Amino acid sequence: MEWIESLIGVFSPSVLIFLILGVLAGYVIGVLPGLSATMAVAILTPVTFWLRPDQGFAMLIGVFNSAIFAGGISAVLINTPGTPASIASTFDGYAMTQKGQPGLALGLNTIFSCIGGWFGTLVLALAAFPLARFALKFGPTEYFAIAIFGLAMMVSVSGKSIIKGLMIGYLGLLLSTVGADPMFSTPRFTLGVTELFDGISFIPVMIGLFGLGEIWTQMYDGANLEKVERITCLGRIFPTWKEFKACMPGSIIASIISVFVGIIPGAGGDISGIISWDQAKRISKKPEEFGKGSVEGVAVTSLSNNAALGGALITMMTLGVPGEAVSAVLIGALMMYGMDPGPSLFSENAAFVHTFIMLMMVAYVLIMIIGLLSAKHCNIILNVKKELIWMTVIVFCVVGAFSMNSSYIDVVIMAISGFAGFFFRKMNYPLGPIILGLLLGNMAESNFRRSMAMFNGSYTAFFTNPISAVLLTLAALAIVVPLIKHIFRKRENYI
Amino acid sequence: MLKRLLNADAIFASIVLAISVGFYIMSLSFTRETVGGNVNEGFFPRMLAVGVALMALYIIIGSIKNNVHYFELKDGNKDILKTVGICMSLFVLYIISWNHVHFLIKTIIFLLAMCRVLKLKLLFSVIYSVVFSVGIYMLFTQAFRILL
Repeated sequence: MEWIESLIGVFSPSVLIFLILGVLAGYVIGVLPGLSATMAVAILTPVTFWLRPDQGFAMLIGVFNSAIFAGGISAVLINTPGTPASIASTFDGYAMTQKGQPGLALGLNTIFSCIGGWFGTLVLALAAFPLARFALKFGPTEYFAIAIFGLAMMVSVSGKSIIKGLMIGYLGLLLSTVGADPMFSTPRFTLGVTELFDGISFIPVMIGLFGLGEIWTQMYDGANLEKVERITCLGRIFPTWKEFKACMPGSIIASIISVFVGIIPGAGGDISGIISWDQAKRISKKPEEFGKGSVEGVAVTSLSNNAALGGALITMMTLGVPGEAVSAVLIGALMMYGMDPGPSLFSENAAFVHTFIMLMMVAYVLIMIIGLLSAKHCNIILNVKKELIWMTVIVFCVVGAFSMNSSYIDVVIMAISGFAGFFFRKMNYPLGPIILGLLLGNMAESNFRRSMAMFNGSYTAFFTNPISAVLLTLAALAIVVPLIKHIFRKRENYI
Repeated sequence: MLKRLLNADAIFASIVLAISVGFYIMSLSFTRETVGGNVNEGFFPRMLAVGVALMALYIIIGSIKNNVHYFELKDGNKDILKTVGICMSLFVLYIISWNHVHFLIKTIIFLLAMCRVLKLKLLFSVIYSVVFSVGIYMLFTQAFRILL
């Protein structure tokens, strides 16, 4: 009954209009290489503050889902993924375009993105509520372990350098201690700035790192899109029944893999896409076609990055641990609306969770319609001047950072984060761990201190509790194993 | 030798090291006695500061041994460096002027200047700067009721 009520709510004009706007905005952002879903959601989050939660999230979910799907369009047409999640779509998508089948590649991208999205959302709907009920039994030791596990996983998969990832993640944790202490509300490290009493605002940092930082990097790298020739002869868009059937075995495996990969903090659509493509190649009847314009290859890679979203949202919503950068921003958005991600979200705001899941489902219906209708004209977006995008994003970053609290200090934090984002990108420091550190710092510290108070200062509590013991062991392995591999192989440069 | 010491990794890690030392010293000012060991307000940041400082030191030492150049320009094009430098300076001026100049005026001037630096045509630059600034202003002040 709650699901039906939520579905009716999603189709009310006041919500649906924001979902459509979000899908259209995400489509444009996703098609343009360099503008990521994370950047779009980060910039739009403060703008949606003035809307109702269902309207605001309609817009954010529309942008989020649509940008991931649309990232595959530029991968297919110009061999450049619009978002990092679409890296694997270049393997076969562009080869199909070169073979004179861009329409079919775009059609497959649309259809299988939606199938993947629906599957991921279905798993989210089925798994989230039982998992949240289970997580309600967690105490401070488990929550501390979850925070450390999330950060360790993010560090282990987010870049070439474990040490750089660790340092930046720890720095994020350290910066999260600025402001009122979570137990006694004692001001810490505020340097007398009253605006810092509530801590370093998370949204401006996100906008700076992922929005402004990306623009400075593109300027420095002299990024310029070459004019894309308008494709006049698309060919057919829909796959034949035979082609569709051939994609099924790989798609089923890719769906399952992707949801599980999405659940792991730090591993997102890019990783799931590559793993799925590899697995689909192994079981395909025509593995020799993979990498040369395989219909199955395009299908599984389009499907996997969207299915991974569902997995990422499971950890984000039930445990409050973001699976990847975009879900970290969505956590910030939930907090902005006064909702705490985690099991309490399901008990205190169950109706909102239903609406959230229904918004995901309906967003993919809109993506299917818009994606198939616009296939012939989508390359027009690729011809927009890069300079205009840069300037537009810069002003949106500033106004977005200011608008949430009408605070000048937020603008300054955003500007500093923007410059930091530029240097981090150039120097190969992964951005995920610092964001996760900032986000999980409070959770880690408050639960650590509660545990210590509960167990009279004994650290053994973290290792006698089975859940926290397993999570902390996995966290340690996630960091130590790559370091040991490095010592023995000395192939990769960890500095 | 000086060139080896002054590399991007060493400079950045030194800044991080300085930050962590600052946090460590400030965290010593919290002396509250708590239940369950001495886990007061300063404990968690103190531990983190030590961890960050150790990793920063590791990176500094490693970067001296293995000097990596991250900021080499593509094709040695120094014009890009100049353009990015001017754009960043304009942005800093835009932020500094935030509380002193009306949003429309500062945004139009900022965008116009950026357009010129990025070598866009004058007429197009004027139209874009004015239309976009007014559009953003109207959207935020009228639709979202935010005073810019």
